[in-house]
Amino acid sequence: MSLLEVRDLSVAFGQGSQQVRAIEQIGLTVDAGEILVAVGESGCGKSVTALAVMGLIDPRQGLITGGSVRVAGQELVGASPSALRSLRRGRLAMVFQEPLSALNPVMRVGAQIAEALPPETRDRPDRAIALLTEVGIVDAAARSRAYPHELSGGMRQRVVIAMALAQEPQVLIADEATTALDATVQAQILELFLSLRRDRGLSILAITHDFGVVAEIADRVAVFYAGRVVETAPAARLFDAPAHPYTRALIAARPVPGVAPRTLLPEIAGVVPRLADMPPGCRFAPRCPLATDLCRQSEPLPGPLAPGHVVACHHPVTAPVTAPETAS
Amino acid sequence: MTALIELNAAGRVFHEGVFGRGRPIVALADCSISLAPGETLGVIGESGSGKTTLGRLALRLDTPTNGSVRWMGQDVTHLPESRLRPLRPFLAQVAQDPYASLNPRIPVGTTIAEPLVNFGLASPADAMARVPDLLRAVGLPADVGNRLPHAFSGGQRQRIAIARALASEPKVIVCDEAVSALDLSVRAQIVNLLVSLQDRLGIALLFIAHDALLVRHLAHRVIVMYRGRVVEEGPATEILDAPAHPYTRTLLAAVPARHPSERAPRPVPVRATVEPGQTNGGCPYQPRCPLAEARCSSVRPELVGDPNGRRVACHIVTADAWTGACTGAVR
Repeated sequence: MSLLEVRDLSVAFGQGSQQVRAIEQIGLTVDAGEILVAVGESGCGKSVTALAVMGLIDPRQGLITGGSVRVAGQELVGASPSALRSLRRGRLAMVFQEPLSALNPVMRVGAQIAEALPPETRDRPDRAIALLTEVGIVDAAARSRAYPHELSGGMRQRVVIAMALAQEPQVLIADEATTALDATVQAQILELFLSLRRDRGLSILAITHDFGVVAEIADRVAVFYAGRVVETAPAARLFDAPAHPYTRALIAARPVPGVAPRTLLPEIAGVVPRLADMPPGCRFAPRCPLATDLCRQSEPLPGPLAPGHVVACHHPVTAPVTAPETAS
Repeated sequence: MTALIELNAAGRVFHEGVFGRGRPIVALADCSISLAPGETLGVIGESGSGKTTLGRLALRLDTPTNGSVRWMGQDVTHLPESRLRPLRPFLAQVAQDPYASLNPRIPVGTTIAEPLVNFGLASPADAMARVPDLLRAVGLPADVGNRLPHAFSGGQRQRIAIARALASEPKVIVCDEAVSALDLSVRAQIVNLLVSLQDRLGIALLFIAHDALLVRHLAHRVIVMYRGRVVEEGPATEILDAPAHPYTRTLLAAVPARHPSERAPRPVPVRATVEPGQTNGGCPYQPRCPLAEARCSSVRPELVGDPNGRRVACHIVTADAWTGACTGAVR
C-alpha cells in the first residue's frame, strides 16, 4: 500500500449547468520516501488536485464529486473539517509558490514556525531554530528573530518549508515551490528537497510546469493534461520513451543546448481547451498529430505499457526519443 | 554602421524612502551596450541584477543618472518627452504579462492600431485598416480585431502584444521576459514567431530574460549582469557554451538537468549576501565568489578583452584564458 493514494478523484466548480469539471478521475500514488512530480501546463488541474488532497477546496466554490484520498490508509474525502485537521497533522503539509504571501509580515519567522509545531513543543524556541538549521539557514538563532521582509526570496521559501516540517508530515506537497525563484536559488531548494527525502524519509508530491524540475528530483512523474493524468512513468523512462504524444511534444519543445541557435523549435499547435469547452473523445485529439476518428469519439482509459508506465492514449508511441524531433 | 541603441557608461541610482532622500541604491552602473540592426542582444542575470532598468533606459522610459543614451547616433539622454515622441515609433516593447499589458475593455484591434494613431502616423481609420495585416503577421486570424482580450489565451495575447509592437514598423523591440510567463508548448510558438519576424523584417531585439538556454537559442550576443554591472559579454554561444566569469558559470550550473541521468550534486553556497545596491568598492560578485582573492574586495575589475569579441570583468579569470580551464566548471 502506498503512503498517499489518490483514486478516481474528481473536482467540480460552479453550480448546475454552469458546473465545470476541473479534474476527473485522477489517480496518483506516492510511496514512503518517494518523490512524485506532477507536471503539466497551467489550467491542467495540478493545483486543484493538490488542494483536493489537502482538503482545501473552498466549499463555496467547488466540491469533490468523487474518488478517494488516503494517507497511510486513512480516508480524507468526506471527513469533517475538524476531523481533517487531525488527519492532516503528522501526515500532510503543503508549501506554495509565493513565500511572501504564506508568511505573516509582522511576525518574526521563528514565532511563525513555532506556531506550526505540535502543541506539546510549541513553546520551545530551540525547535524552531533546529528546523531553520535543517532547511539550510546559516546562523538560524539570529535569523529566527528576523521578519519576512528582512530575508531573501530563497530564505523565505526555506522558512515556509520549515513551517511545513514543523507539522512532522509524512508527505510534503510542494506546489510550484521554486517557480518564483532565481535559477541559482531554485537549484538550492531542489537540493534541500532531496536532502529532506534522504535524511527524513520524507515523501514529496511536487507540482511544476518545468521539465527541468522533473529531471532534477523526480523518481516518478505524472503528466497532467486538461484535468486528467495522461501518463505516469519512472522519471528516466519518461524522458527516454515518452508514450503520450503530448508528453513527447512537451519534452521536444525545450531549447536544446549545443544545437544551432535560431532553428525552429517544435511547437504544439493550438491551446489547452477550456474547462467548459472540452472536446469529445481524447482531450488532446484536436492538437495531436496522431489523432484518428477513434480519438475524436472515445476517451482513452489509462492502461499499462510497461512496469510502472501507464498511458491514456489510443495510439501510444513506443519508439524511443531520437535527436531533436518534430512533433507537429 | 550606426548602432540603433547605444548606452555609454549609463548608470541609474535610486534612493530609498518615500521622498527619495534615503540610502542610494545603484540599480545600474557603468553599463555600455550597442545594438546593431537586425541583431538580438540577450541580457541575462538574476532578479535585481538591473536587467529591467537597462531596458527602461534603452527605451528612455527612465533617465540615467550618469552616462548617455543614443538612438541612431543621436544623444537622447536628456531630451524631454516632447522631443522624444517623434523618435519613439522606431522602437517598441513587449512586456512579460499579456494579461496585464492589454486593456480588458478595449477591442484588441484598437489596441494594435493605437501606436499608429498615438504617434500621428495614420488616421484612426487608416490605422484600423492595417490591423488585419498585423494580425496575420503574428499568426492570428485577420478578423479577430473586434474581440476583447478575454477571448484569447495567454499565447494569443502575447501575439497581440507583438502585433501592437510591430504596428509602427520599429527597428528595435525590447522584450523584457516576453515569453517567461507562457506555458512551454506556447513558448515555442512565440519564440519561433520572434525568430521569423526578425529574419523577415530585420528588427533588432533587446531580449531580456533569466532563462540562459532560451537566450542562447535567440541571441547573437549576450551580456551577463550581476548587481547592476556587466560582468561578461560576447557572442552568445561562446559565452553560454564556455562561460568564463565565475558568476556566469554559477548561473549556467544552476540550469536544471535535461534528463535524470544528468543530475549532479550541486554546490550549495549559502553565504551571507550583500544587500542589493550596496557597493563595497571591489568586485560586486566577490562576496559569493569561490575564487575570490584579497584584491577582489578592494579593486573593482574592469571589463577587458576584445571589444568585438569576449569581454570579462574578473581579476582571476582573464579575458584570454577562458578556454579549457573554465569549460570544465560547467557540468
